Amino acid sequence: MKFSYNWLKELTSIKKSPDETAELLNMRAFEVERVEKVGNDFTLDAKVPVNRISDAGNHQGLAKEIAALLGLKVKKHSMGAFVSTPQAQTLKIKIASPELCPRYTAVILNLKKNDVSPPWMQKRLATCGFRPINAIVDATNYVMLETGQPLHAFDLDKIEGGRMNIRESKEGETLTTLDGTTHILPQGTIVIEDAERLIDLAGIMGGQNSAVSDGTKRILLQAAAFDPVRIYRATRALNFSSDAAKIYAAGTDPNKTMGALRRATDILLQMDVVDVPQGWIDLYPKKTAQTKIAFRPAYADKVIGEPLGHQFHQKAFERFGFKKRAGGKDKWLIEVPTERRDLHQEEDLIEESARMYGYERLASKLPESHLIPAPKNDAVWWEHQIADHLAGAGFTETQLYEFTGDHELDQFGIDRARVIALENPMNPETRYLVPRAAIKSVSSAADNLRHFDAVKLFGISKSFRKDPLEERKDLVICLAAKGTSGEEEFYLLKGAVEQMLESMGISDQWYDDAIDETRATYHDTRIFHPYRRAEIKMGDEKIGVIGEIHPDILKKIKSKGRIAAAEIDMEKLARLATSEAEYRPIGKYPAMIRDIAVVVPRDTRTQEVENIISAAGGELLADTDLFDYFQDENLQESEEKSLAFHLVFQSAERTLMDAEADAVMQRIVSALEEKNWEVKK
Amino acid sequence: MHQEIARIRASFQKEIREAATLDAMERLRVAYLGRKGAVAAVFDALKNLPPDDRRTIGAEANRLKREIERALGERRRELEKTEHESVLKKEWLDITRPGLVRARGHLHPITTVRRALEDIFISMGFGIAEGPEMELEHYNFDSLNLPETHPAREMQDTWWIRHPSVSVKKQRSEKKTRLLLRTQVTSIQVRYMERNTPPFRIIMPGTVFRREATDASHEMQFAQMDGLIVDTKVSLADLKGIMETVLKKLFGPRIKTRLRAGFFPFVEPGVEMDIECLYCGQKGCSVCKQSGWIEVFPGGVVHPTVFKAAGYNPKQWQGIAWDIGVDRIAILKYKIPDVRLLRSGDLRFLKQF
Repeated sequence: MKFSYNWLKELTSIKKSPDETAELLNMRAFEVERVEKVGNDFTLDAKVPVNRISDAGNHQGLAKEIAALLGLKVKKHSMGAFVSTPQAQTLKIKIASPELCPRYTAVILNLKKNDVSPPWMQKRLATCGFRPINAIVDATNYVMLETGQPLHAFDLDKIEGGRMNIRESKEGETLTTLDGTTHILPQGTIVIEDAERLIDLAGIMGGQNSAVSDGTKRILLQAAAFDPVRIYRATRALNFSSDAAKIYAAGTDPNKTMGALRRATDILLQMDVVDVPQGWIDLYPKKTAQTKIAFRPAYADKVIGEPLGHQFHQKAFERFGFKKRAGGKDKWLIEVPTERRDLHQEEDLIEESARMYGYERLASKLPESHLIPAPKNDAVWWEHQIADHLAGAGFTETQLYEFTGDHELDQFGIDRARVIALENPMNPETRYLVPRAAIKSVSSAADNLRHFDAVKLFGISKSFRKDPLEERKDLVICLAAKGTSGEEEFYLLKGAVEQMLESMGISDQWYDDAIDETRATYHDTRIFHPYRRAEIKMGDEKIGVIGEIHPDILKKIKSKGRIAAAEIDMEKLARLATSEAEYRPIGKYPAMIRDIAVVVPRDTRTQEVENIISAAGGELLADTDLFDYFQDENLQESEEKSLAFHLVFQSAERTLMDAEADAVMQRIVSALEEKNWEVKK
Repeated sequence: MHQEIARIRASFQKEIREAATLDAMERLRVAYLGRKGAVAAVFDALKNLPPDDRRTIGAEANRLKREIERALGERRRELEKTEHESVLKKEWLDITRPGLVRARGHLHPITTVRRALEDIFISMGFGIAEGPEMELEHYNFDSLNLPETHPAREMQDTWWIRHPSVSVKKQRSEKKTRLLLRTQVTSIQVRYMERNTPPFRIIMPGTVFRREATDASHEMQFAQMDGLIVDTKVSLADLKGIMETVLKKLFGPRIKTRLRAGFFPFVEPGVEMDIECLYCGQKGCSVCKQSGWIEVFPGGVVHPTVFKAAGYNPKQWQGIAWDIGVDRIAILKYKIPDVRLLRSGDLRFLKQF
């Protein structure tokens, strides 16, 4: 909201400069975002919070606020001495329910002319960001800016049948507002209708059919109070608002309508555009009473954390114009003006005292309380451990958007059945919530391959699915490289996963590539190369997936290289992880190492070879360690590969003799040769 | 034989002077002391001499042998020393050549800032509580004194999730509530309070979402960390102390701060702490909108309505709550010009941290 500094100065005897005034409001009331020089005036652009619009969202109110904070007085306008009698009912006004419109105040004015407003008024309107239009519109805007009470002028002769009915709209009713927009109304919007049609979107904007125009002879100038909730809902439902609607949605003070109307009439008379009116229309069935709030000075001091004392609070309330009505020494009853719609309870009054004192003057403390050890959050702790481990292993952490669109889902061939859509996307890229974390990381890896030859990424991120509703947290690790066959990336990734799991005390995971394609979770591995993918399991439980991204997907996302990715359920990981470790005695007797190489068909699994070796090796074989996995041209031709292992022999009871190791070796060789595999020692 | 021994001695002395390498020394050793060497030949010839001569010549030959051995030994040590020197010299390394490194990974700046904050709060006895990003309207708004009809909701443009409303049980009654992407981690507050009994102090880190057009300083997804203390005696002055402590630990003890009025429906009184603009040193720039100050730390005294929503008796408990914009702290700390870089996934950006 924009305020004119000169106007504020006229309403109170403020001595501070525009910048100092802004600073005062910043510290004690609300933010003034900008001070701007406009001619010989200054615009103060204030972010008046919605609970203060009713009282401080206008020049009188803001002047009052400044005056209170500085201990100054506010000047009052003298009103013209009009006959203060109810006007003869030339117009029948009916209010369907008092809650829609707690007060309806209006005056009928004969219009002498409706030309331009005086230059001083135009200047002030411009300072506050309003475009001058004509005398009537400018005067109503001016009074709204001054008092915070929105006003509206109808062409009285366009109100059919001399009747006005203020009621809630029925769904589907239509109304064209004076800006030319036609609205199809939802149920429950406050409207005004005459004998024949809707003529006003109450509190938001007048109807085109009842607007003041060049030929207008008589106007009905309205200053009403409307139900803020209904106005707010209507602006949301219609996606249509106005300066008046913003004020009404925050709530106005019904006790202010008459003053504003009289002030507006006064100004119009001064401008000589209307005749002196005969009297007023005022429907106010139930007067809004002032709120009384209990206040305990000692409690206030406790909440603020500074002994301000009874006197300080009393003085503060006096300056804000609150009245101490009753109550003893330690419990007061404070009456606040009806325009202070933000004050309902003790805490609200405590804030008034606190800001009057000044938060900048408050002495800082730290809470005194019981020493309770902070509970450790294991999930968060493991997230940090994992991130540290992977960063140490050369992976860089990403944080990515959790939105996705049809294009991206199609690239990854994701079925929409479990994808959650947003009601109000901003663009095609924000239509859905991302259904699996890997999508975003893989896209990011592909993007990064434009600038790097090799990419190692990880992230701990959320994804969302429906039926049933699910919010997951996954660890995603991605490895990508340009100009490779992808094989090395896969094994590097697998190694990184293994090492990470080991650091979390997890060692009995296994890799299952016999994926049941009829199972629901099959969908998790569909983004992978069909012959380069596996589920990572602990026992029967799947904890994640690993694989190389399907070449078709790589093509669709225009990746410049192969990408391998692993996606592991963080919740399961944190549950299985353990930081416990226990000492095991170091072997007393020396180990003996023998190497063995075996040539096997290309599609033989390393694990199968290892299983045969360890079965034949018996208890003296302490460890089997693959150190070479190789295929030269000859082997390629014969569709074979060579696997070489270090075999570690060790006994817990004695130093082994060469002959003992030789005997075991012989058994292993025989077992391997039984499979018709060529063994090289 | 005397002449022969003298000849051998003379020839050895000449040759050892000329032997410059360890190999030459070895050849010399073989030539003089080897089984078929010159000295051995002298010993061989002894058996043909008469016994008297045999003794004197033998003694002389032994002397010669020891002389040669000693000379060879000395010379060898000399040569070894220089040869060792030259070997070491040959192994000279260029210490100006860059060290070999295995590429290291990088933590995301938001993670780094989040951890720094967590460390500060954990050291002050805070626990960490998390909550869902896909949240109920009830926890994100209604229970925080932000009913549907409150225009203050417009401060937080919301992404709504396409899904039927779900039921929540609320103190004897049940109501339907919609699903949304949380707009603030404050949504964890009432969830946590419902499951825990005070006194407690927690921080609530997490990602939040606002349906806003993005630009250099506005994001539709960003990280926050809320804090909450509920106890029998806790005040606004305590909140100020916590805010100052955290900012001093983050930005150094000389950072300038100020506490001013703020409005958030779930706190009363509401305040906001600013820090001096680190970009312009308070001269005024586009980042601080010429004010010299940047808001980083809104907070206040927990509103009684929030306690009631959580089923607490507001007369029994007091609370202070605050929020830290983790993205904003990261941007200020690392002087990042565009908030959107944080979630770009661009390694050219991420590798700088």
